Amino acid sequence: MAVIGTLALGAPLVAPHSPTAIDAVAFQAAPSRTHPLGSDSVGRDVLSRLIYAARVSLTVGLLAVAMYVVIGTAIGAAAAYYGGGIDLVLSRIMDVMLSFPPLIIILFAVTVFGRPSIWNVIIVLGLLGWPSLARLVRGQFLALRDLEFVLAARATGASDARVVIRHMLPNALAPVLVAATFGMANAILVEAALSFLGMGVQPPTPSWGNMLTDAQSLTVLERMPWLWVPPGFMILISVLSINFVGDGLRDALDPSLKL
Amino acid sequence: MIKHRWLAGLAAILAAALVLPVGAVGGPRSQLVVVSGMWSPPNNFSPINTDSSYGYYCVRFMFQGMLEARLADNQLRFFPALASRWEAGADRQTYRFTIHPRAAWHDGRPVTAEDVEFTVLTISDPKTETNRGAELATVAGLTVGGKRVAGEPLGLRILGPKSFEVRTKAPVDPLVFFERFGAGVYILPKHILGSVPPDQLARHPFFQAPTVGNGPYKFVQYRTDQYVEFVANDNYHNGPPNVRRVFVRIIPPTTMLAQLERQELDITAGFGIGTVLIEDWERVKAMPHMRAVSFPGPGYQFMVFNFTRPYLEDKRVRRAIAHAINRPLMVSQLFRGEGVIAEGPIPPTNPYFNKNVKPWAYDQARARALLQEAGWDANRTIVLRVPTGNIARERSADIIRENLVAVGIKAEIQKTDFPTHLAALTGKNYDLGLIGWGGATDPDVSSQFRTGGQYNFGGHTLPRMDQLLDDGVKSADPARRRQIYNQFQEMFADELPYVVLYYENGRTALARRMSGVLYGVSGLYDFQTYDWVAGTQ
Repeated sequence: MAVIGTLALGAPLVAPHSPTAIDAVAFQAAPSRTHPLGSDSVGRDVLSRLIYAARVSLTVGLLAVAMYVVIGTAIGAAAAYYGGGIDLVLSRIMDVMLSFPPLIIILFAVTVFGRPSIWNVIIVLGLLGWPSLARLVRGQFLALRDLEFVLAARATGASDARVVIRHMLPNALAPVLVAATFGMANAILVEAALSFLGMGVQPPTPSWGNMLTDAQSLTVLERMPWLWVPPGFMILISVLSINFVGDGLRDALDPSLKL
Repeated sequence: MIKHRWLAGLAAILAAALVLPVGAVGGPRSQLVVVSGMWSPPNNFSPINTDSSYGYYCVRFMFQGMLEARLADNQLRFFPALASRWEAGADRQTYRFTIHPRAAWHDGRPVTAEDVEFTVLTISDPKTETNRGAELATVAGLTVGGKRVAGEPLGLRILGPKSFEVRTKAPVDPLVFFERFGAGVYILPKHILGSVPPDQLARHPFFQAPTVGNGPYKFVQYRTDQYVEFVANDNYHNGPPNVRRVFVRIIPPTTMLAQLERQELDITAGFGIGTVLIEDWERVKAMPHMRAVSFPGPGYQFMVFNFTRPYLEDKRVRRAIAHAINRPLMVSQLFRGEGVIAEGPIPPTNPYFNKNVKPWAYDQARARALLQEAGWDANRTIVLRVPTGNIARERSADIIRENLVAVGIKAEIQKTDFPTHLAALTGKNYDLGLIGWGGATDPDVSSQFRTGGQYNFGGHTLPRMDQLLDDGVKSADPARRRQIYNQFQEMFADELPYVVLYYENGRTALARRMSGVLYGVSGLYDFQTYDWVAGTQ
């Protein structure tokens, strides 16, 4: 994970070529000294594109998740804290949103938003990803709401916002953090899928997903593995390592796992 | 007794297995079955209104016009279809056709001059939805769009049950007339459709299952998005077809290779609707049971400029962009040499091609100089719109953008599906746009380059170009027309309403067991399908 992050940040320094520069003599060329991972269908260096694509994936992962963590926490907290009618309405909205097939609704939203771009993917993922997180926060807050320290805070006349933010949130943060980590892995996968379908990051900006679109041809699949193995591997590795981070966080933060 | 019944049942099943054609699902194991493959499904089978080459590829097995036109050795040649004789009058204004005495509909009724009249009346009715209007543009009594003018008599006269005469508004080049009216107007059955109001014709069920045609093959069935099945018309007047059954399968381009390898496909449907992907080309060439056929394509890809943007109206900017784009790279690398750099809308294989037009060289320094001269704003970002679907075209956009950036033009690619793309071009919501054009044999390109033409996507107005195009349509003298279109091509290269990018070769796979298949510049393989012969593999 750290390696991918460093590569993404230092892309201009690490990458051997510009990710959009075209090599006029090497289209779909096998790996060589000038192109360690070969070149793609318009003669661009696969390695450089791979490195730059890490930026896209991490940006999408971080920003989309940040967005929906804020929305999800706010809504989940409001539902649990106020309870009653507000809880009922907010919970049903979550149920409805969770019952849509996610990829289809994201595809639809990206199209409606106008032209596809990385920012649209982030916004759509951010706006649609919150219900499951809100549910988690709501559960946490329901448990916290009636604990003594919260009641004490309310008894001293603290405002709702203060009670929620200062007293309750810090105690509900651990599972949110874990969920956010897993959410980031998921966001990277969704971005890859969207870009593969042509609805995500637009060319010539490289993304692991749109690099994979070349792999639709049988000849490429069978005889030009350098076009699709590296981006596929990067998606696998990044999602796997983020999930490991999530697992680690959960082990460290979840008191029920401690003996 | 029970045992016997069981045996009889088994025997029946075995017999049925023997009788069922092996190719019913599509394997080309029989000499009598041929399987063709194309990328997308037809939207309907209307001989006057199917909206794509996919549809017309299917239509032409079942319906014919008077003639078949074919470009061979730079010469337009005509072959009999429904007509057995055709002649142009000395005035180049009257054209006579005689329908083959045995030409008949699939239900046995003869094809008559009344069917022809009905077809012309239907197409020219303003209420009919059709894309065949342009084929009738020269006929007397009709507009340039092929629609009837109130009060003017139609230039078609029935001479007998099987013969008729067409009059044109003015003298025209007979080649143009025979290509448009002779080969481009497929005849409709009057006894089936005669009572349908023209405005309801487009939705008539007949066009989903046209069981009564006049061509060498009869419609059997269309399994939506899977295949179209045809069976030979034994009563076909030019001789019954050799191949009994033709299946046209709908196969996405990326899976075509696997089907060719498994010998499940005999023919790919040809230019633009079944072209073999460039990645797969070498492998098709290496297949022992297939012939890989490559031929110069009639269609070209181009980049259109939005003339409503003041900064693209400057000729110097358009020239700079033409110099900036590395077209040699597209042909040599993107198509591995299977293509030709294009300079104008009339292809080098066309008899009217002007070979004296100087090409726009790839010259980045010149491009930069021209941009400076025109005072190009380096901070301006322009939008290059690209439709998805044609993979090579999508890749060419990446090259174009890189080339533009290199000379100091900030460009952004915007990819959308084809209908959205077309809407953006028509709505002038773009700076540069990629699109392709099929290209007919006749050099008249008014619909694209005349002021207000239906396909004038850039919205340009060039009065002298309009004049040349009008003269070209009106002139009946081939030598004079050549002169006019030479001038048009020179003017095109000077004004650059488009940058024409390349003519991609048609790359088609054809089973070695097949013979009698005509292919060439039109590349659709649907000429004289009754001559197709399929041997054993």
